[in-house]
Amino acid sequence: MMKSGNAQVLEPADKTSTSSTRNVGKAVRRLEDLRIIRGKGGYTDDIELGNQHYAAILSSPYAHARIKRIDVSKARNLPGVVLVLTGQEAAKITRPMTSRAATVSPKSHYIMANEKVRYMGEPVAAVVATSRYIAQDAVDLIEVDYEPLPVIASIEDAMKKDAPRIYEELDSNEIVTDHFEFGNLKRAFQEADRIVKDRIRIHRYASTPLETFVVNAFYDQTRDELLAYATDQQPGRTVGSVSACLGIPSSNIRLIVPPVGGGFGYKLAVWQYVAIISLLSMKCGKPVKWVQTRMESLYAFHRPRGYMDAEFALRKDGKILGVKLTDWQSDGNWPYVSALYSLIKFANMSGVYEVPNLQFEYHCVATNDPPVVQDRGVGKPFMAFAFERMMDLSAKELGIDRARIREVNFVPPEKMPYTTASGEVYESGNYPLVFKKALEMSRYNYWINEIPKLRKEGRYVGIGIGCAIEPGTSNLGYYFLSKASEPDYNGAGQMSTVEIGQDGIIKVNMNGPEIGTGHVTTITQVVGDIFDVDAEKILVDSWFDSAHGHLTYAGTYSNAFNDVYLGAVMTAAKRLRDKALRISASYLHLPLESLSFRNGGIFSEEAEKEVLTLKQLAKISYGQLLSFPKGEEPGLKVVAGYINPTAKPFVRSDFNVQLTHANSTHIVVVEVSKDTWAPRIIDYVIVHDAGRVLNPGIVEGLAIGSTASGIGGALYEEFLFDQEENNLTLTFGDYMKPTAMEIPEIRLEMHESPAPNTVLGTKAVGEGGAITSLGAVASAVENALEPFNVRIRSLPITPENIWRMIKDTDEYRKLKGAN
Amino acid sequence: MYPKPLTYRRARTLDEAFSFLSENEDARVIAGGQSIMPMLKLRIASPSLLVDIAPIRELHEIRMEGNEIIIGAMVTHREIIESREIKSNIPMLQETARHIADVQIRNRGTLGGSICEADPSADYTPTLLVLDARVTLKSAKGERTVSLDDFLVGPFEVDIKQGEILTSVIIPVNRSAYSVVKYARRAADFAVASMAALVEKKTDGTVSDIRVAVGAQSDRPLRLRDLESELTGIKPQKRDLHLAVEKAVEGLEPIDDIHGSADYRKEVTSNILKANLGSLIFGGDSK
Repeated sequence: MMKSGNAQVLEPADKTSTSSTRNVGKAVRRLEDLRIIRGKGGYTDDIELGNQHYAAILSSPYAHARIKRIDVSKARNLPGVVLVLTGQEAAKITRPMTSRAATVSPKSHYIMANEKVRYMGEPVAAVVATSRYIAQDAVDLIEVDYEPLPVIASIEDAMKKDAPRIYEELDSNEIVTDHFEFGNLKRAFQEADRIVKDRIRIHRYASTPLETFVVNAFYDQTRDELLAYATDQQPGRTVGSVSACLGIPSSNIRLIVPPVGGGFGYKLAVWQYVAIISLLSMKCGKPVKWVQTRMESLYAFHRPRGYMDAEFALRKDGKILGVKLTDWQSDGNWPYVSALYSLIKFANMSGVYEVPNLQFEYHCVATNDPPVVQDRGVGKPFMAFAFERMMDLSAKELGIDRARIREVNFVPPEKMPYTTASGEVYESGNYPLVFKKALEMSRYNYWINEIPKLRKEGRYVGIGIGCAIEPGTSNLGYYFLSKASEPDYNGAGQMSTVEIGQDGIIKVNMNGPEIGTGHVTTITQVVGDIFDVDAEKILVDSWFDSAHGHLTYAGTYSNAFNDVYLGAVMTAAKRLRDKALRISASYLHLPLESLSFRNGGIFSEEAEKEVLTLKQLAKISYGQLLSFPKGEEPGLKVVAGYINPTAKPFVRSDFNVQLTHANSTHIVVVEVSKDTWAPRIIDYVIVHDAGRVLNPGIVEGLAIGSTASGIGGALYEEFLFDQEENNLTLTFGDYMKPTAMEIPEIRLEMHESPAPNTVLGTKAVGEGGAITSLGAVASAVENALEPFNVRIRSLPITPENIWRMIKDTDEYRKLKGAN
Repeated sequence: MYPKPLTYRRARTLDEAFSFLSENEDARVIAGGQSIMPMLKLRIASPSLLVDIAPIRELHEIRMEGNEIIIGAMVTHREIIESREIKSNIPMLQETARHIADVQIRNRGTLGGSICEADPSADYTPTLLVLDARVTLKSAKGERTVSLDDFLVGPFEVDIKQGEILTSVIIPVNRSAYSVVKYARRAADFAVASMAALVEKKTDGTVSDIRVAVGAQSDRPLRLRDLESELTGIKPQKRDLHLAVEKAVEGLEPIDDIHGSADYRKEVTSNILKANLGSLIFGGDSK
């Protein structure tokens, strides 16, 4: 049902091509898919270690309660149970978690609940048994006496003067707050013709990967070494965190990540469970496997809810003179990531627009909401949603067209590279052109004329616009902006390995997890061009192994693959290519400059023919050591690193949180049913600029997939809680993840503004749809409901929410009267 | 899924199933498993014995008997969609089955299983209520036939005794003009509001027979008998219909949960009844 657009689909190896751009730029069919479709994809759960034991975790049924007593005797006595470990026991032998960006770190925050539970679903105890079923039975036998505590269900509750504290050792439930100002806000607001204010809200929703958290850990007591398999998106950091938490030297930890069934940022939170399961293995001496159930996966690690107070100072032609923002975010109780959302959000807040004067203030608050994680796009979907809502409101208040107000404010292409008020550098892009294409493709003007006519026929149709940037590649270290100390890492880079095996096959490992976004195919294309070989001569090993070289924060996140992983792979590949040519030249006694990789072998300009096959090359390089040039090392394996050259250090007056900036315009047409008040998407158009496109099929798939996740957030999904903060949405029957039946056909066109600061001119692409879609969908529904004169300030726009908004309006009464 | 320990037995004949059921007070029948499996998974249900009735051949039959169709309890939603007899004799049932959940569930879920689950928001029951369906229950002691209206007691509660098995559903042939509407947030969800209706008119436009049922609007699906009698024997005007619908909806006490508040469900039920009964009575788009 999704159109393949203008992407041409080719077989993996295009045999007619002989140039060294045989692959890049083509919609080569994903090499991963055949394996996956045939059931050979494999899950981490498929891995069974010898003498495998299984864990189950007891989750808290309360959102806030003191643990008065835990009796595990019945569980311990169940045949087959080898270990029961309570959170209180774990706290005695582990270190508390430390906050990354927040200025405070609660000392009572451990990998499992210690003296009290702070959210429904928090791990309270864990069991290891000879089977998963017995482990679950034992969990049911653990008796816990809870003393319920007053629940903090909102930011307002948390900030009350006498509010009970989530972390009693801290002075306040406000974990971190900060204030930034750029330019001259006072003057901007004095000079404005109009000041527009509103409060825009964001709800709790999340990505829900097909494969949940899986950890299989074995602590070998004979060697004091930990081997762990995990569905982990940032294994580099997990090694460090587990080492610190459990006191195992990081050199004694080996972490392996098989291809992961969906990352989406959710898998950045698995490290806590790697620590729990590893601890269980240390205690019982057996390999312990834990597979998170779907219900457990819905308990926690969502996007945070909150709201933003926005004030726009505008000239009467729509030009933005200044913007003031105050953001309140309920970070639940995982201060570990507090402020990450806020800082990312604000660094990119002005989006595709020129905003000369900008002020922002943020407040991250602990509540009994479950923990949050850096879900797809992190704060960026809310950033774009809030800004785009304000653009629509500003247009309305000034009486100008919604398209026009955007045109007035776009960063002009001639100002690229453009530095925003706070220091973010937009490397390239043509925002007005992308916008113009989208208006044309969606027939914006046609709809603007048609919609009033349809209204006369009793049909509520509307068109909406969303424009946003999609920042990618975190310039790590930004999260220390609100802290006074040095970041534990900064910049952006990765390490990768490329080798030619003894059989002449070119092997690549990007030394990062493969999360299903087509890295195997893209790497094969890029490396194929460097060596001028067909896909079948290349083997991309998509298993991460911490025993290979990697950086502290190695992982697949922040849409950085196209930038730093490709940079590392290409650096290694080129170094290997040069080394192979030196060895060949020396062995063949031919001038180095006359040799090149061509069409699957080594070609000599002088001899005008292939002089070595890759197999012969490998044989020489691994065995014929005396034919080597002087000083050349044997073997054909290179581990190389790459750093994005434009990353700059952080100062509060000038900071660049991300290093690439794709952009897109989404235009949506919806109709709202007057029977059910359900909005239905009639047309969905995306024009997207992700820089140079290496594989149009993959880029299109990511753009559409991320849009589907945004449509979910805009129209369907929300984690709902009762007053006691019990999660009411713990199955997919209750948590409204849209299915293929709900996602409309999406028409997509690409524009290419190459990034000057990435190896191939590429930019981020996995989050754009999730960022831009929220505002576009809201804009369309609001437009459809124009006769009711209502404003959409929050999501999801469910049919019932629409009905609640309109049911007391004159238009609704008129409609009911007409019946 | 990690259910509590249980024994699973496959019955090849009804007698075998009855004998398995008599072994254990706590036994439950499993048909297509689409309701009980999630409950086992969440440990909401934990019977110590599961009796699988899938191998029993007679439960898979669809056959005509006089002016009635007898559908075995193990007939799947997919088989109902594909059955020629059902298509030509009770097209309304086929239409209903097409909108149940998703392909995987339609392939495994059964008519008997769905009825015994008695979810107030289920798809079949409003349709079967307007079709005046009956169910046959058998046990080691004998057999009885009950109208579906009597069989459905409350939410997830039916008139079935320990040891009894629902073996078939009896549906009188009906080819009247019908309307089946299911409104759910997502295609595969349970209904937030649903309705089923049959209308017979005389040539002069007088309504001779009208039967209407709604789902998800009470603790069980309901026939709207007052509305039916108000509109029967007259040539209703739009105003008559709307007043009858509003009166009927006012008396409902819908489910009130995260998928739809009671007020909202009433709003939708009222709108879909007006629109779709209007189409049946007046023809065309008569909103």
